[in-house]
Amino acid sequence: MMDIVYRENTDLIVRFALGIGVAALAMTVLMIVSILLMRGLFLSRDRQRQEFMERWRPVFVEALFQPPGAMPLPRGEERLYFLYLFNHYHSLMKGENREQLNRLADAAGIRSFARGLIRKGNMPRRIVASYALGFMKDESVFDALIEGASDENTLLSQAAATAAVQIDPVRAVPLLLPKLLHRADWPVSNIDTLLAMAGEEAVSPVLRESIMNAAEKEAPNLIRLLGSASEEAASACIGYWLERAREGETISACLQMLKDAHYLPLVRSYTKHPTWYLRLQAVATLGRIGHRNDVAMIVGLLADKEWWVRYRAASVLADMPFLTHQEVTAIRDAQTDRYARDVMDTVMMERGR
Amino acid sequence: MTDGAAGQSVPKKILIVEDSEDILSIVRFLLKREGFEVLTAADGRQAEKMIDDAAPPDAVVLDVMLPYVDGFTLLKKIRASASWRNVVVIMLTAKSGQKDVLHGLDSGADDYMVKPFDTAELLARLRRLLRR
Repeated sequence: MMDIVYRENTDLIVRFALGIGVAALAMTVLMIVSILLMRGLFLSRDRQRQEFMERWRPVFVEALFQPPGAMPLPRGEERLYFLYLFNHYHSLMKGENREQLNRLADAAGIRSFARGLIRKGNMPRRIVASYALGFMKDESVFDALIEGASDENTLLSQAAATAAVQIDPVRAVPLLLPKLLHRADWPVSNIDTLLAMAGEEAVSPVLRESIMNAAEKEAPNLIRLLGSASEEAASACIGYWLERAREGETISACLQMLKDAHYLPLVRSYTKHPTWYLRLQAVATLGRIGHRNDVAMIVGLLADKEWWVRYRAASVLADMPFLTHQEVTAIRDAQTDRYARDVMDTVMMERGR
Repeated sequence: MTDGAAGQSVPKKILIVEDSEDILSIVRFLLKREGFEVLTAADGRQAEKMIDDAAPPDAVVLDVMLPYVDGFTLLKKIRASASWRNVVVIMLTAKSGQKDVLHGLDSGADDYMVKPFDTAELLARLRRLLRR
């Protein structure tokens, strides 16, 4: 009796273990098969993409120079590969060549496909379509792009904002600037690039109004964007804030962007400011807009107590277009202060003199 | 020798030094279409060998950022070579900073163009320089 019970229990355990073993084996085989299938699918798609690129690259090159002729229309996934190539060639070319690329896209029936992706595509496809429609200057998606610029995905936001600016900079800049300034993932340098693309005409009125009405804590970032505004707008905004600024960062931003020689007396006064980074910014500004009679003042800063100010003063002297190499060497030789001489030596060595 | 327009006896010879296959094929297509004879080098080392061993072309379209030997170094080599020193050189590069442009022109480039570029502009500049 005991023997029967023992044998039945053992059979149960063996059968259970066997079942688990078979299931594990089946799972392993299934995983291997799915990995192989996925790999095969990936290779097949990659091959399809490569074949498409090889077939269409010559078509794109010819299309840069002549109206597109008869061609097989891209279908299915090929339309996405077309958009990749289209964006790539657009990034290489400018002028009439870009217009020719747009004619090719229209002849290939790609515009409506890209419009569809903007609304229904997944994230990577929306990004590709945004850039493409921007290159095509497609007005019909302007509102969707402005909306896309607010997306929390940084890449989509950048693609959509860039495309909107390409389509209509005058409309896009006032809509985009307030949104982008408050985003931590849009550094000032990226906004600056976008505004440079938009051009003075679109940027100047918007920046002028934003800067004149900004609270002081927001002003420095806005002022640093003035490189894309007209000189007249930049000068007016900087003048406005130089009269009112209480914070060193605001004054520093003003000095950094200043190009108007009208403010030279004020710039010179900042070379004596107790805050070292304002002295540094003032000497850099003198390097851009200063006169020959500012050289003595800059030479004086070679002995500043702050190394960065000394270094900037020496760099400015070495790069001043109206100072000859002999004159710069003479300034170095005339320094009695050890630190001033050292920093001149460093800068001259950096420039291979 | 003429400016390379089609139908004329001896086409002018242009060397394109460019590592991007796409830019290379665009410039090659442009120049062949205009009747020039085109030579190509896909990196700095190939170009260097051509400067050492080959007869000079009439002009070089030269990229700056190249594998092995950069465009500025090649330019110096061209200007130091007895047979190549008078070759017209147009730099065609993505390096657009003022310092890069000045460096290229100071090093002896006849012209400097920044990518992205317009093929009509490149052709016009090349023709002007070849007429000198």
